[in-house]
Amino acid sequence: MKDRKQNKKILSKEIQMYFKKEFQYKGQMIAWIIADAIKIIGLCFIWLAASNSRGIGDQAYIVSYYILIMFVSKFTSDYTLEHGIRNILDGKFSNFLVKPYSYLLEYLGTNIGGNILRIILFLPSFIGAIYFAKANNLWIVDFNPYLIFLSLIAIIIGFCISFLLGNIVCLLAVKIKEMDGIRILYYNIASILSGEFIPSIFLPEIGKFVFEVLPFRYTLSFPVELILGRVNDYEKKLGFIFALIWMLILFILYKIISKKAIKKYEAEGI
Amino acid sequence: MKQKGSKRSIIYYFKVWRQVVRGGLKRSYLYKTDVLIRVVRTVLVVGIQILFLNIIFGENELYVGWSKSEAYLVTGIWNLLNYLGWSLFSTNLLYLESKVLDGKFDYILLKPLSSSWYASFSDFFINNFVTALSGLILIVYYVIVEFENISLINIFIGFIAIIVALLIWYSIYLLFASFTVSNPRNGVLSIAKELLGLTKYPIDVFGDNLKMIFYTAIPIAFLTTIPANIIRGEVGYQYLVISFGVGLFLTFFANIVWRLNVKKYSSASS
Repeated sequence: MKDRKQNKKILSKEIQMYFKKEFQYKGQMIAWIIADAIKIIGLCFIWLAASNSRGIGDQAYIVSYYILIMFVSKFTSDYTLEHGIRNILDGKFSNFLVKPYSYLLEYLGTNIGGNILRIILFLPSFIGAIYFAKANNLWIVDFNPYLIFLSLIAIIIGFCISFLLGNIVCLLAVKIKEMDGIRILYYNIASILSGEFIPSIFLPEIGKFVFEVLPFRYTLSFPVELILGRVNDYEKKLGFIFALIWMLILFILYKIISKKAIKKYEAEGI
Repeated sequence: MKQKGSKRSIIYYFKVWRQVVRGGLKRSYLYKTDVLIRVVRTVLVVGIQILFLNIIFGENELYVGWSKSEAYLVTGIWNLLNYLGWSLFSTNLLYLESKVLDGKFDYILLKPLSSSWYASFSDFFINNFVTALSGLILIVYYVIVEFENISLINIFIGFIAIIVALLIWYSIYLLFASFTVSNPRNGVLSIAKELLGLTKYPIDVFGDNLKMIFYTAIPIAFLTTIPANIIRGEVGYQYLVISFGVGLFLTFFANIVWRLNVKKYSSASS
């Protein structure tokens, strides 16, 4: 009980520290807002041009899907790979290991802080995109508190899966020193299989099966599918069961790998 | 501080760059698995892009006046420019931030070379060079499919336009990266990345108003759309001359902005 309280305190301090650090660079935040706006404007124009011609199916679904994918990705993003690999290769990982609490708490704090900041900065672009989509009859989301509640739970599970996956891949740096290729390949695979680029409705049956069985869908596409309300009750249940099973598997996998990796870790960068 | 390197001949720069490339190649022998991973990634990148374009096209033959194979051509040119950029200069300019923060930028200024050149071309990344092949695959596909409808001279002039586009791409990157020297962690490179990302699709997607901006104030139309149009035979060769003029102007402008920012630079190590 005492440990849990202390961990909460550490986590909250980490998030505060992240904010204080990032607020030193206000220009960076403005740049992120502009970058997000450019990305979403581009996306809207691409799909608007596609919707002007017939034949791509449900255009409004696609536009709403992509806008929501960008929004949900701000909640479930994991930044561990960005700094975690470097920490291991530079030997800075040792600093985390000698502290009287798990290094995961620090990484979690950075991730939660980063995601909160990115959500806040993305809001203007998100609202603008909804307005744009609505003006062109391309927004199909109805405000349904039940679905939003379900998708919020799915987002929390999705973030946990994403965080665990990131940390497992990160620990590979203890054995494999040149991680750049693996890191980028992981991002590519995660992007494809999470539905960031291609919605599952466009996948063939075998592709859909792989998409549903692997954990990546639950980090992005599943919460969006819930908000859009195109998932029936059976698919909802199945989705949550799969997501929870993956969370458990990844947690056990992380525990096993971290135990071995820390034993093998040589702090060679120091 | 006056830059010593400004009076060095092109041959001298070429010799330095040759050594840089040799270093990059030697590193690739060391990390063969990484190169192999990049090859797998190349296939993935092409696969995702083709699937995405197929979704946008749906059952239509044309998208904003472009056929599917022509859209592949635009994406191919984008891949070539983007990954060649990452291989030659973008990665170096991305790392500029950490060099400025660590005080290592002083070493760049002390070298008997142009600081903007050395900051851009101090390392060569063979892995991204491998991924650039994805662009070649798509361009070659277009040429094979449309061989009877396009002339060899158009292909040749289009190839020169792609080289000029690489110069424009570099100038845009340098322009945005130069602000890092005087004000690190400003996030402006993320704006450059998103802006350049828009050119993955024909500029005609963005409607008349934005199109006009992309041909004049922010001349990103000259990156992929113009070279593709030259190869298609849709525009005259005078566009190559305009592209070249835009490229020269942007390079000149980016270098002036670079120098202004270098003047404002204060070393973190002093």
